[in-house]
Parts: sequence; C-alpha cells; structure tokens
Amino acid sequence: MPEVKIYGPLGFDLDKSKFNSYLTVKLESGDNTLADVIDQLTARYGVKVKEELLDAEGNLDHAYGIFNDGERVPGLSAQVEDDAELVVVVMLGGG
Amino acid sequence: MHDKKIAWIDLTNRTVKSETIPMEWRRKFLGARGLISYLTWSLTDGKSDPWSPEAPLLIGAGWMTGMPSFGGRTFIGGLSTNKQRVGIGTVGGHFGAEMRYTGFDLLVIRGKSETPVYLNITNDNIEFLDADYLWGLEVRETQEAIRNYLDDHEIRSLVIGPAGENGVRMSPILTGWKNAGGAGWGAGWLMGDKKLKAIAAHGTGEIKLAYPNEYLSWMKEQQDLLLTRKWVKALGRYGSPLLYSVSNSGGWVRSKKTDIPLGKRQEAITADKLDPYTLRMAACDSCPAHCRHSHYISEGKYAGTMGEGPEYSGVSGGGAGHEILDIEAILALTDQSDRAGITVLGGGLVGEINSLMQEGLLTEEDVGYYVDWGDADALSKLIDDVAYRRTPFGDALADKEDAPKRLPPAVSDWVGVYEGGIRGHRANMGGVKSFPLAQMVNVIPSYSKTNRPGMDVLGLPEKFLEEFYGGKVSNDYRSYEGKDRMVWFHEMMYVIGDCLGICRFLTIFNCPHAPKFEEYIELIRLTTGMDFSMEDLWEIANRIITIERLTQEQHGFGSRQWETLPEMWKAPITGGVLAGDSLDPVKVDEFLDGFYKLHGWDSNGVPPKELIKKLGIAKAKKL
Repeated sequence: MPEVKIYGPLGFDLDKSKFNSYLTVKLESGDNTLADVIDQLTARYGVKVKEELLDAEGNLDHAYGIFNDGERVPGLSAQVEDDAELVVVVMLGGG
Repeated sequence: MHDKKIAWIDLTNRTVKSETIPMEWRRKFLGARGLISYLTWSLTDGKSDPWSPEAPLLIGAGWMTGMPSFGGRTFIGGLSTNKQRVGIGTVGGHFGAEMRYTGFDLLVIRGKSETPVYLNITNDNIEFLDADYLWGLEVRETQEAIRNYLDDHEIRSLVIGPAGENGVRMSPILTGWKNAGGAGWGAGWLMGDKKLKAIAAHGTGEIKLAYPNEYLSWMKEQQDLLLTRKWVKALGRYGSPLLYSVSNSGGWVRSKKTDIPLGKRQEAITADKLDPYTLRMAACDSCPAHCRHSHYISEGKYAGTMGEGPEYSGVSGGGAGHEILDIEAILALTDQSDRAGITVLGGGLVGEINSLMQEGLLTEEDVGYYVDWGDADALSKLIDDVAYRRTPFGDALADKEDAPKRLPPAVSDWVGVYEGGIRGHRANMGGVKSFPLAQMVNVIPSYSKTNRPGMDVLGLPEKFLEEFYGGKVSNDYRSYEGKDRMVWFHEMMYVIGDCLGICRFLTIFNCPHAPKFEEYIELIRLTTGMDFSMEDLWEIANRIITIERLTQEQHGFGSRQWETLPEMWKAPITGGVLAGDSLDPVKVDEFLDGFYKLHGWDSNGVPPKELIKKLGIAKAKKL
C-alpha cells in the first residue's frame, strides 16, 4: 500500500497529535493515480487537503512538492505504485 | 528618511565626523549593500591591504530597516581578507533598526585602536568607550555586559566573540544570540584587528516618512498577503530547517559521507524534531514571518543549551553533512559556535576537518585526536581549539598567514577553496545546475545568497517562467537552458533587496509571488517620496554589481579565468536519483557567455569602459 509522509504545517494541521513528528498515512492499495491519493487523504482528513495541495483550477499547487524516491511527481494523473513512499512538503527555495 | 547620516570613524585618533548621506548617493546606490560596495571600491585600490589602518569596515542599515517592511537587515562590508574581493555579510536581528533611530544609517570605520574599545551610539552622538572589561567575553556575555554597564537594557549591539579577538579567519560579526555575518571573509577578524569589540546603539529618533498613512495601509496589505502564502506560513511554523526535507526529498543535497541523499535517515533531524525544544518562533526587526526557533534543552547531556536557530545550513551542511543525526547535538554545537563567535555548523571550515580526516588527508596526529563521522564531542572540542587557538592544529587552521605552511598540503588546498567562498558544500552539489553556476560567478563568494536562484527547484510552468524572466528558462533544475538568465535575474533582484534591508527569504528566493521591483518602487515612493522606475532599479542593480566586479578586477580577480569550479563539483555524482550527473564544461562556458552578455560585460567578463560610463560609475572624490 502507498505511504504518504506529510512534512511541515500541513501534517500538523491535519493531525494535531503530530507534534515532534511528520504525519505518516498508509493508503489503500489499488490502481492509484496521484489524484486518487489526494482523494483518499481528503476523505480521511477533510477538505483542507485539497485546499492546500490544489490550486484554484484544481491542478497541483506549485507551492507544494510531492516526491517519490527523489523524483517530483509531475501531475495528478501520474501513477502511484503500491510500494511508493510519497513525501509531501511545502517547496522552499533551494539551499 | 533624508536626514540620516554617515559617520566617518577614526579608531586611531578617536574622532568622528558625520554628514547627511548625499542624495546623489541615494539615487545611485539606495542604501546598505549599495553604499557599502561603492565606498569599499572608492576607498581601496589594487594595493590595499585589509590589515592596514586605512582598511575600512563598513556597517550599513537597510534603507527600509526600522520600519514595517519585509525584514530589517543590517549589512557589514569591507575589503575581504580572502582573495581581496568585496566582502559583504548580512545579519538579521534588531541592531540596524536601533542604529537608524540614533540618526545614523552608515558607519565607515577606519584606523586601529591600541587598546580594546567599543562605540556607544546614541541620538546623533558616537562615543568611544574602554572595552577592557569586555575583551575575552563571549558573544552573549558581551551584549549583556554592555547593557548592564550603561544601565540601558534597550541597547542593541554588534559584537565579536573570542574568535574575532583571536584573529580567527572564519569569525563573523554577530548581534543577538545567533545573527552572524561576514564569516566567509573574516569580518570578525577585521573588527578584532582594529581592537573594536562592539558597537552599541540605542536611539529614540524618528524615521520620517513621506506618506505615513498611505504607507502603513499599503504595507499592511503587503504583509497580510505574505502571511497567506504557504511558504511564509511554513517558515513561520518550522523555520528554514524545513528546507532540508525539500532538498533531501528532491535528492539535490547529499551526505558528505555517502555522496547520496540521507533519504529516510533524515527523519532524525527533520524540522518537526525541534518542536520539544522550541520556546517560540522569534522574528527579526519588522519581519512578519518570524522564522527562527528560540530553543532550550532542559535535560540530558546537553541540558542548559539555550539559543536561537538552527538554520537550514546548520541542519544540512552541519548535521547531515557530518552524519550528526542528533537534533540536540546540532543545537548544542550551534550554540557553542554562536557564543564563541565562530562559524562551524553553518558550513564552516572547522566542520570540514571531519571530511578531510575521513578522506585520509588529515591524520589523528595532525589534529591531536580522531574526528569520526557523527562525533559531536570531537567537533565540539575542535570548535574551541580553533576559536581560542588552543592547540597547534587549531591555531594553524585559524590563522591566515601561516596556514599554508603549517597544515598538510591537501588541507591548505581546501583552505583555498574555502577562501573562494565554497562553504558547506563539500559534497558534490552539481545536481541543480544553477546553484554551482551561480556560485562560480558570485561577486561576493562568501555570501552564497548573492545570486542563488532558489526558485529553480520549484518546477514552475515554462510559459510562466518565460514571462517572469523575460526569456526562455527551463523548469528542470538539471537543465542548463536559460540558467544564465535565471542567475542574472535573481542577482539583480537580490541586490536591490539588500540595499533596502529586505530578508532574502521574503524575496523571490522562495517564490515568484514575493515582493520584487514593482513593490520596491512603491515602498521607496511611500517612505521617501522619491520616484524610481523599473529601468532605474535595473540600472542601479547593474551599477552596484559592476562596481563589485571592478573591486575584484582591481585586485586581478574580475575576469573569466577566475570563474572556475572546484573539482569536487565537476565529478560525476555517485549515487541517488542524480547518479552519473555532472557539470558539462561546454555548457559551463555557454553559461558564462550568456551571463556576461546580460550584464553588458565583455566576453572575458570585464565591464567595458562604455558600460562604466553609461552607468555613471566613478570613485567618490573626497572621502
């Protein structure tokens, strides 16, 4: 099953118990796209997920980076394998 | 805004002359970095020695510092002790604002005192006070001692620690608990060489605004807008250490031990691990983001550790870079360095000893003890050995003149790389092409944010980028396409922000929707009543950068032959998602051609006479 790690304020906003930790979410296996993953997160944590991760047109908001094994997931239609470990983090400029 | 003064301070004779900053200088250089670079160039020539009494140390508050703005930075400058370039450093905190309230915007400090001295700046007055009672004190102790001695707890001070007093090459000038600037070019050492321990300021004067009501209303809108931005909210909650999760997840920062990203091993030092130690998030003057952790460790090995930070570079270059995957150790080492007034975990030379030893370039016999990966105790010992020059190795590493003779050759080579401004990135950082390319052409190598286009990693749509940058730019950070334009554009935007005292984190470093020239024009108009056009700001930016280039050139460094990259960055990356990637020398040459052309410099990277004339560049006549 895919696993999503959400770093930064969003993880804490979705689960206030995640003090001193990022939020880890295990999702249902299946033929998932990134859009499906976001739908599952929304079903579990509410509309805040989409408000943060999507822009006004419903596309991925560039303010966030979603990475899979070092590669940026390019868009909502990208396939997410069952063994994927996604990282979601607000994009801050490179250091 | 127009009544602020420049003070000409002579430490040898203990005299001060002051005058209102000429409007012509404001028109051409705005403030802070612009004025500092102009005066450094004007006051020096190819024969200038940073250790001569005539060598200037300049302190400048941003033109918008001390008011509601986008941060309120203070700039430190002078002739760099490393390769004789312009040295510029910047600190956050509150010193610059306090200095502006005294009526002074810029200090030009020359001469040398025979005995330790400090400056006490009050409204329109600067006095020299005996610093015997401060000499030898740590950074925080010094500031507290000044407040107690002068019985004024609203004083803000810019100080050096023991490392600056001891002539340590990597010592910055500091204010508050952790704000440090100029370490890469030895600013603290320069101040210590003048026997100047501190500059204290407390003013009660005004900053007169051209349109105060309109300004406050406009600025509130701007700050409210910023506070809706996701990256600003993230900075306010987790500070710059959150950046490490971005760069590690993206694969473009590596552990020095493995040359690959830490991957899951990052989890020990992610920003959220700071939560148990964070008392609050603090802000620099006038900043809406409040991105710095005030921390305290209450129990365990590091009980009693208290300070501010760490920043991204402390977690990344320092912690991850040296396999110190222990957030408490990172906090403790950061605080120890800040107290001694030395840069270590922020990517300093001392930390590199760890890497050099693992590579067999240094031995236990050379250093006096073994420094293993992740050995925070050994690094702690090394910090004091260098800051206090208390062992032969620490003394040699701290020293400028003797280091090449007293250190093993490979270490001396690395010292040379360090002096070229390559700090904290001993691991191969050739993955994000624009980062090493930017550093290669950086006019102030010790100040890596001079031109680093942090936005390159955001992957924004290319159509948007073309409109934003005014030319085609690839949105793939691995590509070279348009990166000359990208680096140039950020360099030009940043220098104007530096003149105004704006924090880099609230510029387009992080996001294209941050304040830029359009907002700067309105900011200047509402506060000063002076009108600048977009063309004016582009010209001012190029004028300042070209002057910084000319300062390099007058010492023989301002041309293409000096735009080189260290071998470690040219080598193929050995692991991770970027494995096999390397910098292509042909593409690097093409980058240089494009970058020079955008600045109007010739193909050798030298500003031609026609450009110098067009930009109205000439040294100040009577100083």
